[in-house]
Amino acid sequence: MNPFRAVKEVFAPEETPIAPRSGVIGGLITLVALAMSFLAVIAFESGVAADRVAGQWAGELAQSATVRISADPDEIDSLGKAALSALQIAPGVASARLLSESELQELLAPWLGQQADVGALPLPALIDVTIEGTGPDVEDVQRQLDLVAPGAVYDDHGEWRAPLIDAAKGLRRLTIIGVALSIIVLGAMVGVAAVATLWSGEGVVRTLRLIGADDRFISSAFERQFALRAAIGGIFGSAIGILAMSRMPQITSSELLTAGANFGQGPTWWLVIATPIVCAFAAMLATKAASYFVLRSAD
Amino acid sequence: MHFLTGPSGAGKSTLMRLLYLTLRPSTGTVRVFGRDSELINRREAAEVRQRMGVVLQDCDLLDHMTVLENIALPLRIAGQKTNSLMQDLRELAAWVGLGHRLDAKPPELSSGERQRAAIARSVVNSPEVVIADEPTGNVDAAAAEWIMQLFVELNKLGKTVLIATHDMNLMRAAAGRKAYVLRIDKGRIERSGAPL
Repeated sequence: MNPFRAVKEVFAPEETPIAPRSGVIGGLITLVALAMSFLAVIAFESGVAADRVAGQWAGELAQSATVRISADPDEIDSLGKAALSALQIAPGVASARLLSESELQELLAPWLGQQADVGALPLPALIDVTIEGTGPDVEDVQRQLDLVAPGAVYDDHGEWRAPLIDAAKGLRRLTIIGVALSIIVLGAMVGVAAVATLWSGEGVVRTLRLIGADDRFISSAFERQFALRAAIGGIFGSAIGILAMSRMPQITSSELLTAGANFGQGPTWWLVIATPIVCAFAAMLATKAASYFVLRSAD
Repeated sequence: MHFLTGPSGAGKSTLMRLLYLTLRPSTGTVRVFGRDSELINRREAAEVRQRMGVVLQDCDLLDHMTVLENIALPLRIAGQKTNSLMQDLRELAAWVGLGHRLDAKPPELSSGERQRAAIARSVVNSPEVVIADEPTGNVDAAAAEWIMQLFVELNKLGKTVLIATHDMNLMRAAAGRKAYVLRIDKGRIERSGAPL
């Protein structure tokens, strides 16, 4: 069906629709579709943004490792250099770099402040390792470090990555559940509205049957009306949802946990097309199911 | 032309409903267009009704449609485009005396006018048989006579017409036509196929 003709059919039909206008119920369906599509878009966009952050963190952590060297202050420099040399020739290591005192100060600044004298603290030396390919054999690297720099610990960030990957998976699940619930609620509301309309229009159904209409014809007369109303609600709901998300503040500071979320960014324009189609489809199925039961029980 | 007569509660409407398949027999067999009604499914029942024109006492017009749209409704159900048939539809409406009320909605019509619109609707797709259950039950004597004349004219045009009525006087309209009477009482046939 041509969508422009379909919308025109609701507001300015060429032929009087077979099913009488659903009035208040029709308005409610549009309103429910608007609200549900708005919530679905918010759930979808939030889920995508949070998933993007978790994925970004996990990706960054997977491409790096840290070596921590704890030793007496007078030995720490020589052990750091020895560990650095061992790492630079290890297979799977792209580069390794000893963190300077100023970088250590920056790392500790959130806890100790910018003015803290980190040189006076018994801090371990840290080596930032950038990984290539699938990375080094962790056990092999640790053995090499034990030989040249006792007390050095190779951390491949696996302990940090695992919960982030779990979080990303959880967020994906929650997004799917959120969107699915919105569609189910819309379908349920349309189903209830269709049952009410069909029961209140019992006379119309009886007349249509009497002059040769089958269940499919009767059902489609109501389906079309409800599906179009749900689609119209879906257009407005998704547009408002996308607009609302695009007006969220853009977070770029690396100091914030949600950095990189960038709500409303990305290819979300297609939601304005997809959401009304999903709404219309859910409404059509719900009306079809409601008609199936009502028309059979009305015999 | 056939008349189904009998007192109120005799079972006339039940027999009619068995014929247009909104009721299935609990015992016995009803054959419609040569087929056992028990073997006709819901979709086929709709097809069978498209071969009949049914007129009931309470008209059953759709209030949100105009007279013309109500008359054209069986054509829309049959999947026909009504735009090209407007002239025929207007002539049909004029034939039942509603040529001047094409755009009126059923609530604006008198009961006689509504019944005449229902008759026009019942014949718009050239059914093989017209079934009318107490078609004059809700109208005054003058309107009843007009309605009966329409059925007689349909019969003259070659349509089989079956009318259920308890009003014997109405049958006089068919005087001069080849008409038969089926009388039932308390669900039993008392007289079958007697000439009028």
